[in-house]
Amino acid sequence: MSLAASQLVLARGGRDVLSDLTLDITPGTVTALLGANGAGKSTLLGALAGELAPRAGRLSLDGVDLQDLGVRRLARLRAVLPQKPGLGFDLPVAEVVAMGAYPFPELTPAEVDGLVAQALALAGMTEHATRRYLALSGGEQQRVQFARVLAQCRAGRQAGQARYLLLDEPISNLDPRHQGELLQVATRLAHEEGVGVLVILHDVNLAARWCDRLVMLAQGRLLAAGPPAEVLTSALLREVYEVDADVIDHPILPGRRLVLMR
Amino acid sequence: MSARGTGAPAPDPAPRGRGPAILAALAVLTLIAALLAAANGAVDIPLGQLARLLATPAADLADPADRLARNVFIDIRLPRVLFALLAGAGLALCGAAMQALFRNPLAEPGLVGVSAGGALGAVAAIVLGAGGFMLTAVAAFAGSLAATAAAYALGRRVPGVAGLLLAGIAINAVAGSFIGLLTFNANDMQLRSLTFWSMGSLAGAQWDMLALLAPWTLLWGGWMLTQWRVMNALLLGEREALHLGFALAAVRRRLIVATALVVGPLVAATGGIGFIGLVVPHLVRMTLGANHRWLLPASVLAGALALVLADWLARVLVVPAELPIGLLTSLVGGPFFLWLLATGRGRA
Repeated sequence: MSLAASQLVLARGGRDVLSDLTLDITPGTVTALLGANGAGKSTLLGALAGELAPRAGRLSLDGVDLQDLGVRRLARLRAVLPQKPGLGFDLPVAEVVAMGAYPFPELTPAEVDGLVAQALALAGMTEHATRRYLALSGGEQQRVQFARVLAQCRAGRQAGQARYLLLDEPISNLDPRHQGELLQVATRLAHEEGVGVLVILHDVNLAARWCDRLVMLAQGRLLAAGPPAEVLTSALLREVYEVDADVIDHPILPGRRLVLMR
Repeated sequence: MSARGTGAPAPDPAPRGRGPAILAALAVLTLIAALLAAANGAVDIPLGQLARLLATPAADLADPADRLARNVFIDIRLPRVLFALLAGAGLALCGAAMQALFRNPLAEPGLVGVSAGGALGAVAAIVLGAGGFMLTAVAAFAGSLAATAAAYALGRRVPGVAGLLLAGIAINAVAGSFIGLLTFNANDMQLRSLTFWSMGSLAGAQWDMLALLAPWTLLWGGWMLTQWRVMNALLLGEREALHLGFALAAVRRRLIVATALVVGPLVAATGGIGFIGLVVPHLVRMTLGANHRWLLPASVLAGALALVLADWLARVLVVPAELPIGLLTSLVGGPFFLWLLATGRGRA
């Protein structure tokens, strides 16, 4: 079982944005997707979300082609948090989170309420449940949207069914404390509930701290993939970001790496 | 989320409690307004006698005044009031749907060409054809559907909802120029008819027309009420709605088709009644919030209420003559629209 791209080629505006890319998102693991601006991270996430059709190669969820699944089935199996979610008209926070249950019309109102409450608690937004979305700060709005995809990801799940969560820069507006908390929740979701998580991040150290696997992307190609301890090297960081950095053993967390930018 | 059962850990008192209460209040108000409007007019029908008048067959009423009152109520007022309820409800519901589809509080059914197309059809029937209520109505309906179809077909070439918006604006402009051309060529009689058509009236309301329009409007309107989830999801954005499992192209097409099918016949039968589809959903949103689960049914009731009141005023303000109802709705709606723009509440 996995959410997989194999030999994926994807063009946008006549240009190949992703070429010959093979990647597996497996249940129970958190994969960080890293790369410079324009490397194709969001495009890859969009492709795995089933939004963008590949020019060549295959996209599949648990062995079934994404295009054969249809948007409705897909919404029951994976949740997506895009980079800049907005809200056209104002709604109460709990109502926004409850939208995560829309793909599951079979849920009873009480089940939806429970789901929303849990998702709000996981996102640390319980106190804000009755506030208006547009009155919140940017970071708080981002956490509400995170709660919404958490609800979608956990709704109506049957035993043994794989679920996937795709997060595009979910911590870009968050303060350091909430950055760590959000990634911790994602990690717990993967390790305790068996969700397959893909998260686009820019902070290499947060990725190395919280994620099981790093995938490094440059110019639409996959440069490296594997556990942070194996993948992170000065040479790779130079190739991906064009920066000079030292990679050392983490002084406090055994088995983890620490990246120091020069 | 709202109106869910008890035992919810997340408190959500405002929308949960207020939605059903406001719906109930609106329903009661609408009923009262409809009764008063049906009783009041050039011929006054005492409300206290209504039950007696209705229970007695016309032939058994000895007093000619009673007979007149009964006939006026059953044959003229009742169909007219019911028609006002239906038209107001349909226009406001479709307005709310278009505002959701375009993610813009200043959207209204006319945006996709349904009103301008209807007007062009009606004006063409009056100037080029023989006129008359039936021909004008059929031509107006055909014009509504054709204009909406053209806007949709052109708009879908551009991704997202922007293409539809631009195509709608262009179709409105083209229809407007043809209306101008036809008006320029019209004789005095035709000018008078098309001017009155464009100002709107519910005077054409009759039982046989209602028998046709009511089930039709209720069918499509009822379907639209079930679409509150996707309208909420669209508030997040088109991508997000897709991620939540709504096939956007299909959703857009269905909402536009339903709007054309509801508003087209209403425009055909009433002429130009502006601003109900714009102002009513907006007012409801300001009071009740943007959750379409409540916004849609509340718009139905508030639209029905607004048009019944407007038609009542149109009938009684200048007795024995009658003001065109479109004039009244625009008179109130126009300044309100300007106020929305001026105060920046249009984006609320």
